[in-house]
Amino acid sequence: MSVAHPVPIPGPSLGPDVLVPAPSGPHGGHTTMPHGKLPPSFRAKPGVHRGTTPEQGGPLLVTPVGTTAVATDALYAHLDRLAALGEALAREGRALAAVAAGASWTAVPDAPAAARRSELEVESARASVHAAGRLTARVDRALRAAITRYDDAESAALRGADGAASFVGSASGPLLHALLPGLALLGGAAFLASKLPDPGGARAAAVRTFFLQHPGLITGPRFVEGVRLFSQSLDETTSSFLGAPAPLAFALGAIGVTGVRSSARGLLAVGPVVGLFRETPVKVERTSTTEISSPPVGAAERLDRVPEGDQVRIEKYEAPGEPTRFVVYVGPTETFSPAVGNEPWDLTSNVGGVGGLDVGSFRATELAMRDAGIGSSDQVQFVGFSQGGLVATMLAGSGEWNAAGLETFGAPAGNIELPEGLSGMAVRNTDDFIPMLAGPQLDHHLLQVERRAFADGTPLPTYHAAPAHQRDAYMATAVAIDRAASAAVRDQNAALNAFTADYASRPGSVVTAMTYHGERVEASEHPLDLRGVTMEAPAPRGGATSSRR
Amino acid sequence: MVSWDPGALRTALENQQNELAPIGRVLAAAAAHPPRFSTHDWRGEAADACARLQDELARALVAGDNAVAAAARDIRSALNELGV
Repeated sequence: MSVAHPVPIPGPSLGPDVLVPAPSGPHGGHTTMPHGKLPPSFRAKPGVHRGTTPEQGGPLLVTPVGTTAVATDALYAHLDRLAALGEALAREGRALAAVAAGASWTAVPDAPAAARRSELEVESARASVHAAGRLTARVDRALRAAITRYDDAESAALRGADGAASFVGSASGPLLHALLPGLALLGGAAFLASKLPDPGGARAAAVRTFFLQHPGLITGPRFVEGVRLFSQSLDETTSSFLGAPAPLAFALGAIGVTGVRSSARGLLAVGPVVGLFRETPVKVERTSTTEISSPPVGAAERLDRVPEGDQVRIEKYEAPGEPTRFVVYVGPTETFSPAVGNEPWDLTSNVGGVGGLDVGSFRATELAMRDAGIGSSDQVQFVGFSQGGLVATMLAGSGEWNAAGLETFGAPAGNIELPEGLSGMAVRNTDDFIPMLAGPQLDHHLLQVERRAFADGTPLPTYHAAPAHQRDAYMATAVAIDRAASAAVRDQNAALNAFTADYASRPGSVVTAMTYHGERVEASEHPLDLRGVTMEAPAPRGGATSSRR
Repeated sequence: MVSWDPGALRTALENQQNELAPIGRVLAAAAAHPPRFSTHDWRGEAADACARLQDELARALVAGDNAVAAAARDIRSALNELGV
């Protein structure tokens, strides 16, 4: 299949991106985690409420590579067990046939009576084993059929909802036109209000407090479904708003001429007019180089190594006589401001990334990769969380790098085509709306693993407005992945583990970790500070702070 | 009817005993822990139909295990009957 590099930002050239020379000598450090234990970022800190645990959430839902059939990890593990039992019964059936052929005691006059009885019992065992083999195959087929039927019913329901949303979107142009003056007034007032002095941050605090007190507003499968339908119908809504008749708007969306990608690009085209969503060149500096002793084992340990602050971490694995391998960890969004500031991991990169553009965070990560010595033929495993997952997926799908593996957590990246044969998985919490901002999952070259972070009846934490998107919610899911029973999940997890463990365990191997900090260049205005809306609650007085995402 | 000398008969029975032992272990393990899904993971009409099939499967596994165990017991008896 074809994969595509993100396209350049439309408009005049941004100017060159810059790699700041690395300071001489190793510095920085990394604390490695004992295997089999929860990563430090997941362990409760005094005074800090932790959102969820592996036990509080729902079951793991698994969609194996190349399929759209979703079932629980437990059911897929059950299918694995049935398959193994079927093979065992076939093998033992053949062995019993060989036993029976070895001696036919009923035809031997000198044989003891007990020996003759055993011949009948061996025949009876053969019949039972044969029957058990047939029943195993029937259970297997019934289970697979039920999964497929459920998937078909689910898909039909989703298609129905999508169709209705698209129809509404394609006919919404006239209504939006009628509302436009009001919307423009509201938007202008909001924009001006954001520019007014906010002494003590009272306004931002009020917004933050409201969302913190009502985390259920944007957390839960119902809201996520709403976001999915909204992003799904955005293309038809935009076409209709631009004057396309309803049938044409509907048809353009149906054949994929418009979509989430074009809507995101449209936002980036219009945004700079009012000073928002403006791309800039970026610069990247290596902030630490450290020799480390152990590779990550399992999804939780890999997620734990995804950086924040310094947005990129690259691990270089060297083993004597072998080509060098790399793992690139890409951090999450650092600011949700739509106005340009110094931070490349911002809302502009989120929107542009969903639009398939080579945004600041993407280019900064590529700069870091080149500085780390990664060539186009070197095997690379990408790991990313949130926007980092989007960037990781863009890199793996760009065709510019030799992607061997990809693991993303909560990434809005379902609309990016990936090459075949990638190890790894895309992990999403079903009550996290962020991944749905890129529309529904379209690519199926990677194992999809989902889990509800907060099961029905679990009280939602109030430390963050979107708790299901937070690092600790994904850490709980990652721990559940490490405990998964199905071969579909275990095999991919093992392949990601082996990529680094194969080298790190060899005599003479060297593993080096490098961290990088990226910044935007020519940030010309103070960004809108929307962190109060989306970040965590203030740390309790005297208590430690939790990780932001 | 084929006549066997006691030595050949004994050797053939011992071979059968040795071949049945690993088969017995596999079937005993399968019968002790037949595949069953949890109703926590799957409920509904299709799940009930699958569960009924699994009950049949569990019975077939037990029957196979019992038959192999009985055959092994009878072969042991036959060997005892033949003596050293």
